[in-house]
Amino acid sequence: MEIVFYAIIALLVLALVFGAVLGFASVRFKVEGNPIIDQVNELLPQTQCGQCGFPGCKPYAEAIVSGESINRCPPGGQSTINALADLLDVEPEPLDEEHGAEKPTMVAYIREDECIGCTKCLQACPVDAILGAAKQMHTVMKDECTGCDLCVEPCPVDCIDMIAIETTTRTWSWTLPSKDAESGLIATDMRGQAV
Amino acid sequence: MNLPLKDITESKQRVWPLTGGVHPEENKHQSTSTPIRPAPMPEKLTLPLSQHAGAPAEPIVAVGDKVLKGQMIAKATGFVSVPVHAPTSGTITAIGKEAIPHPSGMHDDCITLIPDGLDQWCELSPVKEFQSVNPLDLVNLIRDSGIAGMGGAGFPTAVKLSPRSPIHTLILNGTECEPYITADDMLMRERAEAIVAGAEILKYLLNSERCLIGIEDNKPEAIEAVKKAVSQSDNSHYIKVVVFPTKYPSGGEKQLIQILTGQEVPSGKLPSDLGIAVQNVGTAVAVNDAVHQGKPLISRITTLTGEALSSPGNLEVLLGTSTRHLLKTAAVSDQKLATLIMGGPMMGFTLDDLDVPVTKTTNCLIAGTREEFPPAMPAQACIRCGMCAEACPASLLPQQLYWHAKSENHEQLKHHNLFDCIECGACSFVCPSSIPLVQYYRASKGEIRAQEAKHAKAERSKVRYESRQARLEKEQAEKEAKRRANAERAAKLKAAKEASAKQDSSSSTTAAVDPVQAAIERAKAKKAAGATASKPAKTVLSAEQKELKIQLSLANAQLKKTRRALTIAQEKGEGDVEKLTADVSMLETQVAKLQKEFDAASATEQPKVATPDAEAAKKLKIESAMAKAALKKSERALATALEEGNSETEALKEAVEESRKKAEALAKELADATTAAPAKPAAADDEKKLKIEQAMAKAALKKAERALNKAREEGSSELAELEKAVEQSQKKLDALTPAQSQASSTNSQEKSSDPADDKKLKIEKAMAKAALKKAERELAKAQESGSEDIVSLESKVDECRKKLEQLEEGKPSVTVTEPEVSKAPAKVQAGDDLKKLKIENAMARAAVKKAQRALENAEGDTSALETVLIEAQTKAAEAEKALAAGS
Repeated sequence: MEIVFYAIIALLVLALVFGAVLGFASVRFKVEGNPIIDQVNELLPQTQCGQCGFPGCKPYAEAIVSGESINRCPPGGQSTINALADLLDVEPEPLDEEHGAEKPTMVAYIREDECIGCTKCLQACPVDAILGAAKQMHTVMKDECTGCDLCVEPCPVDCIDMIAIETTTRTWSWTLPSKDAESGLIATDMRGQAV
Repeated sequence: MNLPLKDITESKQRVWPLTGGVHPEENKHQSTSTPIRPAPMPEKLTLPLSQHAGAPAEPIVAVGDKVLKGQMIAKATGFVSVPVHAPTSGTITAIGKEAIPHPSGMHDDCITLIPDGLDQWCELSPVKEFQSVNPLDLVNLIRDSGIAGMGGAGFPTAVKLSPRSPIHTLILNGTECEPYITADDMLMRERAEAIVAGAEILKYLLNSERCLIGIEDNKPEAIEAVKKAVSQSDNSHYIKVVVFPTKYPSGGEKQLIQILTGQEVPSGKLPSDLGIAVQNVGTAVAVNDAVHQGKPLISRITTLTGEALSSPGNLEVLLGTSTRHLLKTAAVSDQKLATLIMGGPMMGFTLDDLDVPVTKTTNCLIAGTREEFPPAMPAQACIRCGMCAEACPASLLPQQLYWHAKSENHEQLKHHNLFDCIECGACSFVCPSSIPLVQYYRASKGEIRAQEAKHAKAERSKVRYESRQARLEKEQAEKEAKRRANAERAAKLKAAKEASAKQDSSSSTTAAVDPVQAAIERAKAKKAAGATASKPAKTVLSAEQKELKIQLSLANAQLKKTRRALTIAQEKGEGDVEKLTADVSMLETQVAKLQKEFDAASATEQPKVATPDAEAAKKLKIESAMAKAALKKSERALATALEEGNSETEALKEAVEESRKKAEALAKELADATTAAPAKPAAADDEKKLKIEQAMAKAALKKAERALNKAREEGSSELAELEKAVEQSQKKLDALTPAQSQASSTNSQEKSSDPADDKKLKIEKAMAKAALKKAERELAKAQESGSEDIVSLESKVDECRKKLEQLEEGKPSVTVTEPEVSKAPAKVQAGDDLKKLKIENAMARAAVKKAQRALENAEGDTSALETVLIEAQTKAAEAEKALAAGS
């Protein structure tokens, strides 16, 4: 009988100790905000283009965490959707075409002799990648431009072009061998066919 | 593992075995039978600006420039970059995109040089005693000589000669393990002295303790020649020739280090971290030429081999020589040539274009026949034999890498050290299923690099976006703070005003409490008013006012004192409380009287004095405002009284009526004064005032309406009255509106010659355009979605367009008048006009573009859009014509 009593007391003491430790930890090492939002935001392409219907990547990350579908980001494309699906442990789905198609990375280019210096594009740029002042010619900092398209619409003289970034010898890369090259056929069976 | 091999040569230097590796057929004998011969001068040299690893060089010559042999024609841009020199004297004919040797087959920036045949050197400045020169200056000399690694990677040599950590071992790489290539072999055979001399310079620069020259045992002549040269030099004690068994890929930097020193370069580290530097023997010769002869890197030894050539061999080739020229020199048979490979058969790449030039890294050109290089066998499924893992010199797991590359699992690829792969091709060579493994690895590496770059950019964009958001928020907060400060100030002012008003009203209420007193006060006020009125109108009444003021303040002070005394007396319960109370009331009446007098004095005297002035109007206004305030106050008092069911409602009503009358009278007077005022500056002021009045009237109307609504809701009895008020307000507003519009129209007529007006017109036009744009967009959307209100939208678009046209019609007249107005500064104006014309032109073009786009996107009925497009085009043409005329 006594032994049962001691056991209960011991367990009670242990429970109290662990409770105190856990309580302390929950206060001392409290995580500010929702870390999942940051992880999702990390995967988004940060073009801040708003094609998903949210005013930037962070708001969309927040929306995803609170249940929005993960296939609304055309600049990120399928690879971003796959990464998000992997992170959130959901099924990857094809890109929602309603929000735009996946395009190659673009960069804005201002035809400078047509620019009238209205600063409208400056205000539209979400990453401050356009340089200029009122009545002064504007120009795009190519390396900072995310290709979000947001500056094209406000331009009153339509002097902004979106140019696809060209592959140079520096950015060129080998491609994976095509899948049908490995058809599984025996080599001798392939003779006579166009290789 | 690291057991020393048995000495197969006389060398006592210990060597370690290579992990993995393969033994492909060597095929080196074809090109070693003849000595190195110079290639004949080509007709054209194409010099790529990026023949090395790192930033491309920047041209410092222009098209048409004459250059001398050895003259720098493009300078290095940054630390990891080397310049380009003219390989012979001649003329620069082009700077632009040309085909370059690259596996992508893409074009890149090149300088084209047509030789003049003189082959005239520029002035060279050789270094006589390199030991007496500062190593840093020597490194700069080597950089300026354009030397990049000659082994194949093309890494700038000067960078390798500026290591972060001290170097104890210098290794010269004479391995040349790839099949077919014999350039280094022949170089070692024929120019061993230059190699040893170059090694001495490199050793001096790196301050290393020893120098090892590693040569595979399949080059006995080269070994012999180098050994002889070493023994003849003064530095034979620290330069050692090390011979090791032939195996592919012993010539890889990390592999050679492992063979010669037994040390493995850790993943992600550089050989310099181990205190080792590896240079190609060709680089050593180039360094020797640069230092001892002052010659920059303008030529290299290239092996020309393959069964399609009838005279293979090694040629000293000027950089920029096209492969077509070289193949002709080596008597290529066009029928036999099936595959042209630049580099070795293991790591090289095939060329589709015969016009690509030889660069600093081109060590071999193989013109192969179809039998020599048959098309790759189709890849079969991986049978997991593991031969690739055995062959891998980097001890990787090629099979695992293959699976992960195929499924694009980048995390796993990185985990399996994909980036330690040297792409030697040994795994592909041994694969029984002929899977192009290296291509998988190259593609995956490229993909991972691209994604990392993308991620880095995303990170940067995020930071920029967040800082922008922070900036906008800060600006917003600043604005808000300013606004709040303003509001606070306004509130304080208002409070102060109210407090003073309360003081006034408190005295009047005390008066109102006692009807007798009020009556006396009123009588006295009347008397005083009469007195002041009867007094001869003094021109200087300020003295009287002053007196009154002084009296008033004195009375006030006394009143305060007595009050204090009274409270003290009341508290203590002693003294003559009654007398004090009487005194207080007396003083109060006196103060009130004085106040009245003071007010009356200023009220009666001012209109007379200041009627012609604007001041009068101002004062009148203030008075009327005060009267209005009084009216309001009394109304409020009446309301409270009504609520409380007070008996004095009648009196209050009367008061209200009175004050209203007063206010109205004042308002009339004010209106008269303002209209009568002869010296009104401009209609603009009037307009402004009218506008303000109108706004006020509107506000009043709104208020009245709101009150009416409320009353209706509450079922109040004052409905009729309120309705009347609303009506009145409405009428007032109606009366004001035409007046205002008239004023503004006259105003604008007056101002029509103003440039400001032009601006306004323009703005209006722009707005009209924007409206049109919007309407059109909406229409397009509606058409797309097949909405019903297309008709209304169309009419809207038409309206917008008409408005715009009207505006445009209005505009020319203004612009036409402009030159007449200002003929003198016509030149300045012309520039402006031109600018304007340009803008118009740009806008017209934009309109055309937009119309075209819309037309492209449109489906079904496009005739309307076409007419729009044609219109826009004509407009654009007109604008252009105008612009042409203007400029």
